[in-house]
Amino acid sequence: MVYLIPEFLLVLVGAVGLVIAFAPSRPRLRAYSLVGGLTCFGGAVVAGYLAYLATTDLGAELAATAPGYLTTTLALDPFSRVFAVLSLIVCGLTFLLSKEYLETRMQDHQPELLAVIAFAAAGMSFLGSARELITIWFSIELLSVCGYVLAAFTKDDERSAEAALKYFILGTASSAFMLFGLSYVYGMTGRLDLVGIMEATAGDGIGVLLPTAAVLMLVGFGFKVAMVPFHMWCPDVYEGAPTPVTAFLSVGPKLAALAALARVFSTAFPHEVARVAWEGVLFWGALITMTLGNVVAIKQSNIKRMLAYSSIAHAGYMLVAVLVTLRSDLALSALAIYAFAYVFMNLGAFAVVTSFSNRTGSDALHSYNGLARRSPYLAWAWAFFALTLVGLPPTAGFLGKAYIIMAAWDAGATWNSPMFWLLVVLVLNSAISLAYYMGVAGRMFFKPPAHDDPVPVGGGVGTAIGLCLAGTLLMVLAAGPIIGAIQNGAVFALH
Amino acid sequence: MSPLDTLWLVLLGPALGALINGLWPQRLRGRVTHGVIACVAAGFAFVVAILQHIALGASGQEIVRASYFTWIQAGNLTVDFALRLDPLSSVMCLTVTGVGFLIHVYSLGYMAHDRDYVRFFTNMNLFLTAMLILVTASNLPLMFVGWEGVGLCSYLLIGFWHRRESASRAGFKAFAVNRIGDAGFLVAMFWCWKVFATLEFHEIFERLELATAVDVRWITLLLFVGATGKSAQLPLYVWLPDAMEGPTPVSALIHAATMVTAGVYLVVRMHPLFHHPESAGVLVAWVGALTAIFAATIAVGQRDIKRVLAYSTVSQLGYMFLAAGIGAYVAAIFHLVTHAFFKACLFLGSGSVIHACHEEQDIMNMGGLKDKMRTTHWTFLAATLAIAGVFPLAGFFSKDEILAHAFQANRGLYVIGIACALLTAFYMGRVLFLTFYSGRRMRDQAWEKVHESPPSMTFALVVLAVLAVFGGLLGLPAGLGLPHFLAGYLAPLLPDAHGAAHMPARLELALMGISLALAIGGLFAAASLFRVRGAQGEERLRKALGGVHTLLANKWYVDEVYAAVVVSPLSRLAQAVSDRFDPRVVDGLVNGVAAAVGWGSERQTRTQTGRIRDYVLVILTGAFLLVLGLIALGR
Repeated sequence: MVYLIPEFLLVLVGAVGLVIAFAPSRPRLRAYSLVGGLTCFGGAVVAGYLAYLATTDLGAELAATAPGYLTTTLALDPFSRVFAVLSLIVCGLTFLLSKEYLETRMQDHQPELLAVIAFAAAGMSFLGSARELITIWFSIELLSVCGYVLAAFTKDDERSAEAALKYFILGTASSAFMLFGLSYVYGMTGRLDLVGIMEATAGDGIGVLLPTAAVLMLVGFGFKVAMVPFHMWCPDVYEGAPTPVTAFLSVGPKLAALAALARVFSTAFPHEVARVAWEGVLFWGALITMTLGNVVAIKQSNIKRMLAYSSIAHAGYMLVAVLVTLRSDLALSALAIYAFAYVFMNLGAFAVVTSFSNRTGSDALHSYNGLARRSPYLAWAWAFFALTLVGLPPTAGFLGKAYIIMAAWDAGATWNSPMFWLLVVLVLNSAISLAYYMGVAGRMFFKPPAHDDPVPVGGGVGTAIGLCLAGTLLMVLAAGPIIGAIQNGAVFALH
Repeated sequence: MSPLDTLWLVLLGPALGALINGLWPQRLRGRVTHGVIACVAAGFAFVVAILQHIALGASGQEIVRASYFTWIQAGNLTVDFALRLDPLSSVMCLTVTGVGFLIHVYSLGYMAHDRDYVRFFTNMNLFLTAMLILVTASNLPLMFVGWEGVGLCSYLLIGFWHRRESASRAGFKAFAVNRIGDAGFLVAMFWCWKVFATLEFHEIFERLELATAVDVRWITLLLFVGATGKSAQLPLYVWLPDAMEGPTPVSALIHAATMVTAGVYLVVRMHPLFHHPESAGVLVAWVGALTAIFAATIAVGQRDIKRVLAYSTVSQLGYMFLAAGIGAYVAAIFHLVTHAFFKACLFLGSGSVIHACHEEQDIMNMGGLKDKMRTTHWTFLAATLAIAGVFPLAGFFSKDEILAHAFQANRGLYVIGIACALLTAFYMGRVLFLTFYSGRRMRDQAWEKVHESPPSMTFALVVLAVLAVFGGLLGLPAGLGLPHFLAGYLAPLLPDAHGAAHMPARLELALMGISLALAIGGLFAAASLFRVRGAQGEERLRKALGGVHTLLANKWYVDEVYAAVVVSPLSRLAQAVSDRFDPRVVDGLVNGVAAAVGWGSERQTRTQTGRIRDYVLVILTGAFLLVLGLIALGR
C-alpha cells in the first residue's frame, strides 16, 4: 500500500479542493493553490524515494506483501513510480501556473478546476502503472473525462465550449476503437492481465486477429498521444481551452498514454506477428507525427496552436523511444528522461504564454513583438525554453533527444537501416523546429513592440517558470538516478 | 622528491603567470608588478629546468616519462597528457627558459611605456607555456598543442600593436602561412596513426619496422612541410620577415631564439624516422641549404635593421636543417643553442638601438652610435663576430661542425654552406658598421636624445653576449680530440653523437681555416666598404651589383610572385564563390527548403477545417487503412 502514497495524495488534494469550493472566494484560492502545489512537490519527493525503494530488497518485500487485488492491477515497479513523480510534478506546476489565470480570467468555480486537475493527474499516475485491461481502461477514462471537463471550464467562452465538445466527441470515438480492440484481445485470450495475454499468445496460430486488435488499441492510444492521423483535435482543443488547462493537456494525457503504450505493447504483444504490426505502425507514426507537427507549426499565427503542433512533434520523438522498448534496455529510461524534460520545457513555455495572456488577453504571435523590452523575464525564459525544446545542449531537451537517439542506436540502427533514417529525420526535425521556436524569440528580442507597457509576471506563474527553468537545467543531474532506478529495478516487473 | 617526479613543474610558472596577468580583473598597484610576475614566472621555469637537467644527469636514466591523465579516448585511440624529459628536451627547456627569462627582463625596460604592458607579458608567459609543452610533450598530439599554442602567441604578438594595419596584416600572414605547414603536420600525424597505431614517440620508434619505405618517405616529407612553415624555410619563409612588425623582444624570443627552431626540434625529435634511408632527409638538407643562401642574399639588400636580422635568422635556420637533413642532429641542436644566444643578443641589441633612436629602423639613418651606446655596441659586436663565425666565438664551432658534416656528406652542400658563411659575415658586418661606425647621419635633434638603454635591458645584452662568446665551449671539435660536451650529453639519444670524430685532424683544421678565412674576409669586405664611408659604401655596393641589387632589395620579388600565383587566384575564386555560388546555390538551397516546408505547412493547415465530422472521418480512415494494411500484409 505504501507504494500508492502518490496516488492517494493526488486524490486527497482533489477532494480537499471540492470541499473548500464552499469556502469564501479569494483567500481559499491562494491557500489552496499554494498548499496543493507544495503537497504535490512533497509527494514527488516521496514518489522518488519509492522509485528508489522499488530497486531494493526492502521494496521487493513490500511488493510481495501487498494485497493481491493491488498487485494484479498495478505494476509497482520503478518505472511506474518514476511516472508517479512526473504526475505529481505536473500537478504541482499546473497549480502554480494557474493561480493568476484563475484570479484574473474566471469569476467562480476556481478551486474546482484545480481539483479536477488533481484527479486527472491521479488518472495519469494510475495509467503509468496499470497492468490489466480494465484498470487501463478506467485510468484512461478518468484522465479523459477530467480532460473534457477541464476544456469546458470557461463555460461562457464560446471557443472553450466548442473545444470541449470536439474533444469529447472525438475522444469518445477513439475510445470506442480502443474498447473494441480490448474486447477482441479478451475474447481471444480470455485474459485481462498483460502478462497473461502475453502467455496466451505465445504459440502459433493466432492469425491476423491479434495484430488487428493491437492496432485498434493503438488508435485509442494514438488519440491521447496525438499521433498522426489521430491528432486533428489537438490544435483546436489547445487553442480553445483555458491556457492552464492547455498546459496540462499538452503533457498529462500525452505522457501517461505514452507510458501505458510502452508498457502494454511490450508486455502483452512481444510475439512476432503482433509485434511486427505495432512496431511498423509506430515507426511510420513516429516519423510522420514528428515531421507533420514541426512543419505545420511553422505557419501558425496563434502561439497556442503553434505549441499544439510542437507538442505533436514531441510526441513523435517520444514514440521512437516507445518503438524500441523491446530492443533496447535504454528505451524506457530514455522515455522517462524525455518525459521529464518535456514536462519542464513545455509547461515552462505554456507558463510564459499564460502569464502573457493574463495581462494582455492575446495569444496572437504578433502581440509578442518586443516582449524583451516589456518583460525581460518572460522573454529570456521563452528564449531558454525554446532552446530546450529544440534540443540544444546543455539543456534537458538535448539530454532527452540524446538518450532517445542512443536507445534507438542501441536497438540496432546501423548505417542505412530504416531506424537510421528515422533518426536522421528526427535530427532534421529538430532543425526545422528551430525556425518557429526561435522565430518567436526573434519577435521578442528584435521586433519593435506595439507599445511599451510592461507585462508584470504574477507570483504563482513566475514561480512556475522559475521551477521549470531550474528543472530543465537540473535534469543533467537527475538523468543518472532515473536511469539507475529504471534499469536496476526489474523492468516491468512481470510477476 | 626528485625534480623528475614533477615534470609538470616546468610548465607551472609561465602558466600561472599568464593566468594571473591575463585574468587579474584590474591593474595591480603599479604596472611593473605585472612585469615582475611574468619575469619571476619565467625565472622559476628556468630554475626548474636546471634542476631537472641536473636530476636527469644524476639519475642515469635516458628518458623520464610521466602521464598525468587521459586526454583523448576515442575508439582504440588513446592520447595521454604525458610529458617526457630526455637530454634533447632538457637542452631545449634550458635554452627556451634561459633565453626566455633574459628577454622577459629586457622587456621590463623595453615595454615600460607601452599602454598594453599587461597584455604583452600575459602573451609572453603564454608563449613560454606553449613552447615548453611543445618540447616536453611525449606524443605528437600534445606536441601539436604546443605547436599551435606558440603559433597563436606568435600571431598575437606580431599583431601586438594591432592599431597599426601593417602589424595586423603581418600577424595574419604569419598565421595563414603557418596553417599550410600545420596541415602537413596533421596529415603526418594521421599517417603515423595509420601505420604505427600509436602517437607516442617511444612507441612509434619501437615499431619502426611496421613502416614501409613509402610510409617513411611521406611521413617525413609531411613532417618537414610542417617544419618549413614554423621554421620559415623555402617556400614558406615569407611570414618571418613581416613578423618583425612585432615588438623587438618578441622578435628576439619567438622569431629568432625559440619558436622558429621548433621545426628543427621536430626533425630531430623524429630522427629515427628521418634516419631511415628512404626518408626525406636529403630533401631537408637541400631545402635547408638553399634557404640559407637565398635568405643570406636578400639580407645583403635590406636596409631595415630588423629585416636584415630576420633574413639572417631564416638563413641560420637553413643551416640547422642542412645539418638535420644529413643526420648531423647534434650539430643541428648545437647550432640551435648558439644561434639562440647570439641572435637573441643581436635582436635585443637592435631593439636597444631602435629604442634609443626613437623607433628608427633604417640603418642608413643611423651611424656612429658606438660612443653613445657603449654596452650595446660591445655586445652587438661580440654577437656579430659570433654569427660570422670568428674563432673562438660560439658561432665558429657550431657552424664549423655543420660544415664539416656537410663536407663529408655532399660537396655541393658544403660549397653552398661556405658561400653562405661568407655572405653572413658580409651582411652582418654591413649592419654593424652602418649602425655603430661610419659617422653619424642623424639629425642633430634626434642625435641629442640618443642614450644608452636602462640596466634592465643592458643586463640581458651582456649575459647573452657572454654566452655568444663562450657558448662554443659546449661543443669543441671532437675531431681534434677535444671534449664535445653536448654530444656526450645527447649521446644516449642521438645516433651521430661522434660522427665528426671520424674525420682526420688535418682535414678538420683545413676546413676550420677555410671557414675562418671566409668569415674574416666577409667582415673585412664590409669594413672596407662601410666602416668609414657609410652611405657612400652602400652606393658603391649598389653600383657594383647593378640590377642584382634591385632584386635583392626587393627580396627576389617572391612576395609579388606569391601574390600573383597563389593569393590573387584564390581570392578571386573566393570572390566568385561569394558573389555567385553562395547566394544562388547555397542560399537558394536553404531558402528553397524553407519555402518547401512553408508550402507544406500552408497546405496542411488548410485541411484543419475545424469541423468535427471531418476529424472523425480522418480517424476512421486512419484506423480503416491500418487494419486493411495489416490484413493485406498478413495474407
